[in-house]
Formats: sequence, structure tokens, C-alpha cells
Amino acid sequence: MCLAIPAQILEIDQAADTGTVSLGGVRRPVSLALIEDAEIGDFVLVHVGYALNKISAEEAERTLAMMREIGELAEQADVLAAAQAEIN
Amino acid sequence: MSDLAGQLEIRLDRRTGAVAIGSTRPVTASRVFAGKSPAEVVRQLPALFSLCGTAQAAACIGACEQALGQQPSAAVLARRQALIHAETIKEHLWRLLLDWPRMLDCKTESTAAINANANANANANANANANARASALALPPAASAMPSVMQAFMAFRQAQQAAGDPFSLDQQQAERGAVAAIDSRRLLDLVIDQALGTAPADWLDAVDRLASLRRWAEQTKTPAAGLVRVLVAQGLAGCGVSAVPRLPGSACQQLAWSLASAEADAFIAAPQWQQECAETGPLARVAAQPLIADLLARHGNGLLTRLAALLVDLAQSARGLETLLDTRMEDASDAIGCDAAVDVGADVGVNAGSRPGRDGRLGTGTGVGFAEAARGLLVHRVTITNGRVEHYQILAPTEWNFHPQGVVAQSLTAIVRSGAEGSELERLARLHITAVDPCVDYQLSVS
Repeated sequence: MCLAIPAQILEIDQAADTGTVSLGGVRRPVSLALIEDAEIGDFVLVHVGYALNKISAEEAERTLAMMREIGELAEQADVLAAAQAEIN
Repeated sequence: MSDLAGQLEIRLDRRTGAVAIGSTRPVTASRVFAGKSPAEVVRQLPALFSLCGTAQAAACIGACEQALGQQPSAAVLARRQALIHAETIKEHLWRLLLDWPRMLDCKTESTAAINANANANANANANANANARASALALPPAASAMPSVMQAFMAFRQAQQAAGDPFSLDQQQAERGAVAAIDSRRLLDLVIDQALGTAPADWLDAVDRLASLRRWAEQTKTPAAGLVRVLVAQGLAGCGVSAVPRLPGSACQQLAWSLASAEADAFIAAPQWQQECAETGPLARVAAQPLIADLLARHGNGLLTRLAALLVDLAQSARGLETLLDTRMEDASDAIGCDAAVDVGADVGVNAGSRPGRDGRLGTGTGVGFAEAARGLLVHRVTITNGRVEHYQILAPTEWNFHPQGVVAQSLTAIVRSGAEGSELERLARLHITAVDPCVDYQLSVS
């Protein structure tokens, strides 16, 4: 299950072909070498430090909403597991 | 949010060879699809699991179609397989142009640089590390064509989507997409220019033994041929051999039943086949091919066999893409890997019978879908009740290959026992992890 995370480009270093993105509110360096015409404000899918391709803001928001939901489900599962462990 | 992709933590004891593999991969993320309509899931799932989104889409729609009693035409199946081939080509070229060169060339780099390289996406808090990371993200010289690979793949996929989506539950749209003329030349040319040096079918005919592989590597100027030369020159052909069996193609039925069992969650997190760990991926797919059979006999499942398996799988995918688009093969079921019509088993807690009821008209049923993704076999299982997904499960290749006692764990132990020490031990461990290829970031610690 290979999740690539949507992130927004905050800064671009043209010479190095790298940039800084906001990934869940955390600033991360990424390579922009694999995509064309990256601009500040674009949304990209990021995997192991590389921007893979550009996506629309709508697609990014839809995917991020699903990822938030996965995070919430995982937290609920942890709470349930902890409660079960206490009962046992 | 940024940690949602998960990570593997691999610890290697340099004295005993003991290996511990921990995973924070979100193996139950597919629960997010409960309550949605099958059409929504088919649309959303590839966007979520986008790295191998095409194979994910194929397994997803296979499962949904079986659950709903829909039968796609041979042309639709063939087009789906062609698109999976294109994705496999993109992924394998990434390994050959970007990952393998970095790992093979890093012999002279300091351990710090190697760490910065491999952990580039792991921790971004310290400014001091940021510069090292940025330089580590620069493409190696061998990867100068990688941007073209990504663009060719994206262009191919967009052209297909514009013509019609063969991964749609809307059968009319799927049929429209299946017969659209799509040009794969750009992607196929990159396979020749960057890897094989010749047409895929000719390469598969000519390179059928270790001797012909070495001859090809000496005579060919592509980055991939250079990898074979370097690997042999460094004496690493038999590095990391283990006895872990390969997951057989006949496993599909049993896997479907395992996903229906009460222990399905534990199985998905750490799958085994007949009480043993098993490997899935390019080597498992092409083990019977003449070149790989010869290499397995001479070097076991060491690094040269793995690199050659990547090349053979790349060549077969390129040949398959060309054939499927040119002739619209009448029957693509062999290429799909598993017969989609497996007995799906009873869903524990949902249906106590030996087979769940299915009523496509009412939108109720259970289905299992399979796809051979670049990194190995993907299995999806869905239960649909009254037009809504009740339960969705995904069994992914990384859980087989990075099982705590699986092929990577055993191969890393073999590398320690071969006498490798210090930074060389760490380099060989990273090379082997790259060769088996997790689809997530990893942290390696050698102590």
C-alpha cells in the first residue's frame, strides 16, 4: 500500500531542482527533478523525497481528507485495543 | 499526516546477524472505504495508493466486479493489463536508473552521506541536516532520463484517461477506454535506450544464460548494463542468498480464504504461505525464465539474480505492453496472474455459510481481485451489502517481503555471516533492501 502524500510547494531552488513543501504542516525538502514546470503553490504527490507529479488542489484536498480519516480510524483502533487490553 | 505512509525500521546485529523488522505501514488503511459506494471506492482508491495506483485500481475493480457479478470483456482486461505493464516499466526504470546506481556507487561515500541519502524523507527538523538532504536528493548521473520516464508515463496515463477509463464500473466507459488507440512508443523507447539496448523480445531471446547476460553487459552502453558490470566487478553476484521460497501463482485461492478468516488482520500484517514466509515480486514472477533459472542455479537468489529478474520483468512488461496495445489480445487472463474467479470464502461475522450470497442487482456480494504490481502480488477483498462497501481489505507485497522472518531478514543475516563489516556491511544491507524494494521509506540501524 504505497501512499504518496499530497503536499504544497512553498519554495523552489531552481539551480538545485529542489524545493520545500508543506507536508501536513511540516516543511520538508523535496526533489523537483522528476516534474516539469513546478511553481510555488502547486500541489504535488511526494514519495521518499521526490515530487512524483502535480495534482489539482481539489484532488489534493480529497486525498488529504481520506488520509485524515485513516489517521482517525487508526487512533480509534488504538483506543479500542488499549481498552480491550485493560479488560483482559 | 506526513507519517501516514509509514516506515520500516530494520535493525541488524553485526555480531549475531539477528534482524528485527518493525513496520508502521497503515495496513488497515483500507477501512476508510467502509460505507462508500463501490463506484466511489473504485475512483478514490487509486488516488490514495497512488504509487502503484494502476495495479491497485486493477485489483480493486476485479474485487468489486466479482462482488457485483459483473464480467468485464477480454478487451477491457487486456487494456487493464497493458496499463499495469506501463506502471511496472515506470517503477522498474526508477529502480534501475535512480536507486541501484546510488547504492552501487556509494562505496566511497561516508556513512553520514549514505544515511542522509537513505533517510532523506525521514526527519526534517534539524536545519543542519537539510543541506545534506537536499544534495542527497539530486539525481545521480545514471538517472538523467528519469524525468523523461515520469513524463512519458504520465502522458500515457492521461491519454488513456481522456479516451475512457478501463478501470470503471460503468461498462460502457470501460469498453470505450479499452479500444482507444494509445501510443506507448515514448515509454518503450526509454526501455530500449536506458536499459535493454535492443527490442524487448530480441533481448529476451538473446539473453538466456549467465554467459549471454555478461556478454550483453560488456557490449551495451545503457545505465542498466553498467549496473550488471559493476555488480559482477564488485564480486556481489551471490550476495545475500537465502532459502525463502517464492509465492507460487497457485496461491491465489488460499490467499482469498485467508482474507476471509477470523485472523485476517494478523495475516495481512505478516502473511505466510503454508506456515512459511514467502517472497513475491519480479523474481517470483520470472523464476522459470531461462536466464533466471540459470542464475538461480549458479548464484541462488543473490543480487545478480535479483537485478537480472528486474531486467527480465522489465523486458516482459515492455513486450506485453506493445503486444496488448497492438493486437488487443483476446484473452489477457494469463497475464493478470490469478484467475479472478476464486471462491471468495465466507466473511466471518457477516455470513456463516461456506459461500456468501451474491445478488448483483441488489448490490450485495463478496469479491477478491488480484494484480501483479511492480513489487509483487496485490490482493483486494471487498464485501458489499445493499450497494455499500461493508468491509475492504488489502494484502500488499511489502508485508510478504519485509516480514520479520522473511526474505530480507534472512538475506541480511546471510550478509553478516559472509563476513561483511563496518560501512561495507551497511552498504550491502542497503543494496539488498533496495533490490527487494520496499514501497516506503526505511530506517536501517546496524549495531
